[in-house]
Amino acid sequence: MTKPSAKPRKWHRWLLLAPFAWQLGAAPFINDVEIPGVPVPFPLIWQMLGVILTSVVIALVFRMDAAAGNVADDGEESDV
Amino acid sequence: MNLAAIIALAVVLSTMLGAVVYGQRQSHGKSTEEWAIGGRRFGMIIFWFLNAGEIYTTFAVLGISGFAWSFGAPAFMSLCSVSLSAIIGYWLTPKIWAVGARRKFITQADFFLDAYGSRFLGVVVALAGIAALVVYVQIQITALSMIVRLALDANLSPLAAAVAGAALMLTFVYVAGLRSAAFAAGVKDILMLALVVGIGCTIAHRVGATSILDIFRQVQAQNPGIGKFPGLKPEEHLTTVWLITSSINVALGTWIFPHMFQLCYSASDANTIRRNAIWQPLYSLSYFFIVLLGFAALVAHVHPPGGDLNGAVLQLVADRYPAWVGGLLAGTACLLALVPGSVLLLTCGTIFSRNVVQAARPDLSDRAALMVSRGSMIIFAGIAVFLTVGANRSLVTIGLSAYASIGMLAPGVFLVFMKRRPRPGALLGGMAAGYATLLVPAMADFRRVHAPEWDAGLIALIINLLVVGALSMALKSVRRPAVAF
Repeated sequence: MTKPSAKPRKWHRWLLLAPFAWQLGAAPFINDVEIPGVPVPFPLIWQMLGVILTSVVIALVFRMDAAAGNVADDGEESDV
Repeated sequence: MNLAAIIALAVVLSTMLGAVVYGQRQSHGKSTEEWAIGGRRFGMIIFWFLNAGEIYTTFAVLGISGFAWSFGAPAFMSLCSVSLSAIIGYWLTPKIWAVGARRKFITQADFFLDAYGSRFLGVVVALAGIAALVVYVQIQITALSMIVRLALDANLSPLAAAVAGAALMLTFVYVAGLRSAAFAAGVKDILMLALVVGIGCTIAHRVGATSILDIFRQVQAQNPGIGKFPGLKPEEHLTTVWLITSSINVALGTWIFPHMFQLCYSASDANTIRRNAIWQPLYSLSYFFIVLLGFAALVAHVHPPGGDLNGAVLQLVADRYPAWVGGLLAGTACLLALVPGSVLLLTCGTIFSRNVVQAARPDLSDRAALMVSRGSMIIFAGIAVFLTVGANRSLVTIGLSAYASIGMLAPGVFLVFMKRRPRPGALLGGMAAGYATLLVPAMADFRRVHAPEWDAGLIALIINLLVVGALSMALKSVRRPAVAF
């Protein structure tokens, strides 16, 4: 969004787009999938996996943010 | 009065009482800041419950289950909305919190006023925020009046039931503040989670299925196509395109709601908000059981009164479980409407006194301001009651229109954090164009013919943004330092 400044790298924030790709981008393509013998609709399973993925991704980005020093407790961030 | 009604009432009253006592013991004085944003001192646990309280509303429990009962797969959208909002929140809300803490903001209109330096824009944003909140209150009152009629008296008129619901909500706001709401949110979340999982795990044999999996098997055998988009009613255009566009709009709109702004301000520090974003999505996994209950209601062939889809699961539990379970669920569902509803009204009142009345009369004392905000809430609740009566729409549909309406403020929030900030005139132009897209009948018809699968709110938001962009080029944007206001 903003131009990168000299300070912390934030490329890892692009990871935050992965759940959008999973839950929305892939939705049309997995809509007709059925797993034989599993009566729970596959699109429902897919979305639940997406929820778990989201938590994992946010946790990961939080750790990487912390390591890069851009999660100061006062909410200040270096470039945005 | 029957057993179910007595238990429902006991749940509601004891929680409200506990909340008020807790609120008074923990509160520090009676300032607007204390009442409206808890003195900016909320830590991880209380912040979690307040946030989760916003997730576990009647929109989720009664709305989603009713959607599953009536349409099928489109109810899966609920699993996208919470997680994707958390992502936007991870990026956006620490910024909102930081600016709010530094500049001592209480409302969302404070933020706009300061960022764009236009009093007119501040008032317009305040009124637009209130309008969206009133639609959101309408969801809660629609649900409350339905529960009241289901649990207490089926012959009660919808108007009387809606008024009773609104009165209950107002009482709660008057005696409580945000701190009490957080307590009640905690109680209702624990109760609801226990009930949803408990009923979800025991429902199978009560509807003639052998297991949870068997419910899915039966419901798909009886209703082919229910498990994938567009669900049971293709004529409603609830396709994957609808899933994508409405989920994006909900994710973008969630944090734009004025009460969510105030929720951000109430956190004690930015990392409280960030950590919360990590855990929040997992909470929505319990929607699995809510969808399951909607499907179970289909397998059981329940008939909610008046065919009201929002009542499907309450009817299911009333039909197939002992009275005390039905009472517990009805009481908890009441709390689901009361607690978020009271936070919404509280927000409306705060914004009205601070950003509309005090904009005209800056010399108003803090005490008088508190009086104005409490008085105005009666009017806003009244408008919500008026909107409720006669409408039998899905809670999800009403919810999406609330998101469409609040989305009109989104460009102003997101663009603040850009290097180049638009002028107030450009934002106002964008809002006008967006509202026109939503409200002018000719444009609504055009949407329905040419993009029936698209979420109306997202179309309006895109048009809004395009107009802001065009006007910014015409008016020249203002270059300012990015973070510091």
